[in-house]
Amino acid sequence: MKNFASAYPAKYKVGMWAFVLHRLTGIGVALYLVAHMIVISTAAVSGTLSFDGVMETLRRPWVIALELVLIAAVLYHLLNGFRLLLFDVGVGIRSQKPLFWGLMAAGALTMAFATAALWPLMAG
Amino acid sequence: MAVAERLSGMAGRIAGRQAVAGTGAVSWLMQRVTAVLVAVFIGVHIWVLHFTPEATSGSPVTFESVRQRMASPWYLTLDFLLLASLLYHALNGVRAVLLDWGVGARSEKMLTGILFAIGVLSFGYGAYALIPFFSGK
Repeated sequence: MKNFASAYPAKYKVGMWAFVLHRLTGIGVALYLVAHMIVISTAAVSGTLSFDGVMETLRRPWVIALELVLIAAVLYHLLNGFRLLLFDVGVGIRSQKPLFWGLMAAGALTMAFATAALWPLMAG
Repeated sequence: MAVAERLSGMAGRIAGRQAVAGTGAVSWLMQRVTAVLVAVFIGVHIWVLHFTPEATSGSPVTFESVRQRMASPWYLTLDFLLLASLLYHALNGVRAVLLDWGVGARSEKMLTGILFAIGVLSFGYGAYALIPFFSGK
């Protein structure tokens, strides 16, 4: 097993940063999943009124803004994961950099759409 | 420069000691299979709950709206598949990261067992949390 991962971070290129970011978003979204399950499930088993109250709280503008951050993390993980799946079937390995930036452009477009769609809820 | 060095040091620690530790063929394959499932299911999940015209026009999620959604066997199936595939993908991902960091490398079976138990318990709690939408309280 090569031991290059932490040896020279200063020399990381696109692929290595893509890997680090894949890990970060993976850990982040996994931690979010814990909070999501606790908050939503506990609200659900605590009765109708309490569930509706929690859902009302989750519609505050700052929560919607955080949701966009979450969507960005999920989207990054999904798009970069798609790139990894392509590599697994032998597609795009030689053009991994343009593939990465192409997918990031698709992600940026999706985020622009998501932000525009949720804007009315954030503006209040 | 100190900040840049710090950041790259952190990146190195996140990446792990090993490029990618051997996690096993089943673990590797299942991570790909569940990745595709989660990508589809989470797309539907986020779309339905946040981006339908009703959601973006500001009508809140309520107990009643979830109850109606859960009355559809399609959504119910989708939710269970999402719960199962996402729990597997998340916990198997955590396992890979921990093994890369050298945590549990010497007691891999125990690490796998603990994560498996967390997965089963979480699935059980997720299923339990749906009961009110069928009993109506």
